[in-house]
Amino acid sequence: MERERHETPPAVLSLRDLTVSLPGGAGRFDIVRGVSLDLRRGEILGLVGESGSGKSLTLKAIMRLLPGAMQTRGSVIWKGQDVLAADAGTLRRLRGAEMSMIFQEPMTALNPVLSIGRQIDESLKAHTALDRRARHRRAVELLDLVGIPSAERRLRDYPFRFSGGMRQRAMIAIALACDPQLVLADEPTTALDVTIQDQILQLLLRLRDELGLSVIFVTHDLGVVSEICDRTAIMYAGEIVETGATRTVLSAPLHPYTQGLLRSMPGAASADGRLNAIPGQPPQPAARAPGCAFAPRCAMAGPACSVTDPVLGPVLGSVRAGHASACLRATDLIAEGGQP
Amino acid sequence: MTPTGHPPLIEVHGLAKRFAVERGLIERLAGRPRRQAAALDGVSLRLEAGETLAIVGESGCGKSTLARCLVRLHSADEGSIAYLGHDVGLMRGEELRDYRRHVQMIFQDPYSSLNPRMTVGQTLSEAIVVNGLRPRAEAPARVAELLDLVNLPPDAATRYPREFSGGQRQRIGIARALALEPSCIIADEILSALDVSVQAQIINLLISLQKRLGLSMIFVSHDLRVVRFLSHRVAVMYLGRVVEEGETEAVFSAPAHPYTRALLAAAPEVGLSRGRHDSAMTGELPSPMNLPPGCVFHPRCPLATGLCRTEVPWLLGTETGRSVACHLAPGRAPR
Repeated sequence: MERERHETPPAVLSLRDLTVSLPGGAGRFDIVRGVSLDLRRGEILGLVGESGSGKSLTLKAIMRLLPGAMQTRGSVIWKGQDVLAADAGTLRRLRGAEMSMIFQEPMTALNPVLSIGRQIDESLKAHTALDRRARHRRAVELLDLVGIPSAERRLRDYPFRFSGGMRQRAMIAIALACDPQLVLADEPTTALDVTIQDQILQLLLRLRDELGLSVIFVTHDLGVVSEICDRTAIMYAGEIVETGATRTVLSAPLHPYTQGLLRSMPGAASADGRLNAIPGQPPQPAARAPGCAFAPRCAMAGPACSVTDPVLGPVLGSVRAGHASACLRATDLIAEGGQP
Repeated sequence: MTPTGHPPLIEVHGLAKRFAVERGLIERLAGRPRRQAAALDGVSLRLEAGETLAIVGESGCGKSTLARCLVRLHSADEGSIAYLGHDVGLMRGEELRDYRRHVQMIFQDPYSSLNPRMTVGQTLSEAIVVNGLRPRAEAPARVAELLDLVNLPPDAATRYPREFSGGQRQRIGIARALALEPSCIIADEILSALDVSVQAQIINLLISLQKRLGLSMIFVSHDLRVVRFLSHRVAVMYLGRVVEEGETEAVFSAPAHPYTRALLAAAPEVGLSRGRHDSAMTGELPSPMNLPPGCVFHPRCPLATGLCRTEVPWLLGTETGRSVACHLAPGRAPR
């Protein structure tokens, strides 16, 4: 499949300097720091990072689902409108009708005491003018669309009657009920077995092609990213450290953290039969040192790295359009061939 | 028996385990029979000293039940487990205590398997003293030794489990198992809750420990990348049965069972975008309460024939040291 598109359609969703902060200690500290992203129509963007990197928070901030204690700054422009400034009525219309979310654990995201049919119906009732019979027809159509067999009968079933994979399909059906243009998927396959994960990934690809969905896919699995994402953004300690076409980022990474992630995957062992683990641990958001957040764990870090905060930008000498890295020494990485 | 005449460290033969399924009130009133879910159905395996045997399969395939049977957290309904040639099911008293000390389990979630109200030092020295491995006075020295072995700082002994990150807790879980100087470690999905970079640290730790201490390991996992990297031999399970077993690299590069092939094809690989809209395998796992007749994989198998629907394929060895439970595997006598 053609992953790097030649024409670049305008972005439907733009994040600019999105920052999420929490109160704590002497003031507030940022857990998502200045995230800027563009998502185009029909594009699947992978948002990759380890636990605590801020990827799920970024997703929730887009839909304004964060608890009140977390402050969000910056802007989330959806089709020319700033979601962060939207009033309650607009938000209600946006959520479900234009953008919707798929969660990691369908069993906790679905209501256990309502049948799947009722849960699809709820969303249709809130956002469409369809009558009861039309809503029922639409619900059957949706279960068919996501590949749940004998849809008519399954609508009356409760979530516990569904297997893990079927539950995730049901959740995708609910998310798609009102024809949203944007789907935010928060680790939708992490709790599933590989064969079922494969089925769900293929389903998402098919739905993207058939319905022209734009998808932000949050995951920690670089294999999954490689399978379905057109573009990828790598997050570390609340910041995007590298972004570009998936193939470029995974085959010629220009940030030491991305390289470290790829190297620490089994299958990329060094000559002595050991994995190249990244030493140490990610910094605590409250105890962040100045300079590059990755510097304490980085083998390439120089004196400047612990002073200057690197900015995400195109790398001098990189031939690939749209490839950006937040590393002071990115140009040196090109000289080394950018190989993981 | 191996060719050298030594019994293998652990030998499992025809192990079966069924769980009773609760009936609802209406089912009981209607006098429906009790139902049973078959978690293990005739599993046979062998573990040699110093080797790592991986058990892979999807959730519900019985891999964790097998691990729990091995440490006698479950008792098996049928079949036997032999440790150095001695039947574990017949062990009593001192002999059983000895077995339990030698075969140690590490659990998936270190936080729920550590006592939150005991410091790491207390947890470790309890295991040492209760089992009489060291007198109480020497325990602190041994604790320091163990912490060093798993690359934790010495002051970890005075801290509580909640003060550690996920990767560090898993190191504590490993130290707890090593405290008993086991000859075999059974690791049940110990990496699945960890991030990739931390996971790599733990994998390196396991490899170096195995080299230094000559440990044998049964490594239960659903992560095929890790299994390929870490194990010498691999057993692939499906619905309570072993469908294929052999040298890890050989199985991964030339899988013989259709289920193994489908499982490997479904695993996402970096730099390998399929870009097609069909999945490697259709359908889902059948219910363990109502296993399909014949080969349990036949409803999802693209190659299934009439024979597969009626007759159970036995796990048979081939000349290459591989065992496959499939009627269609090469080398089987045509019927």
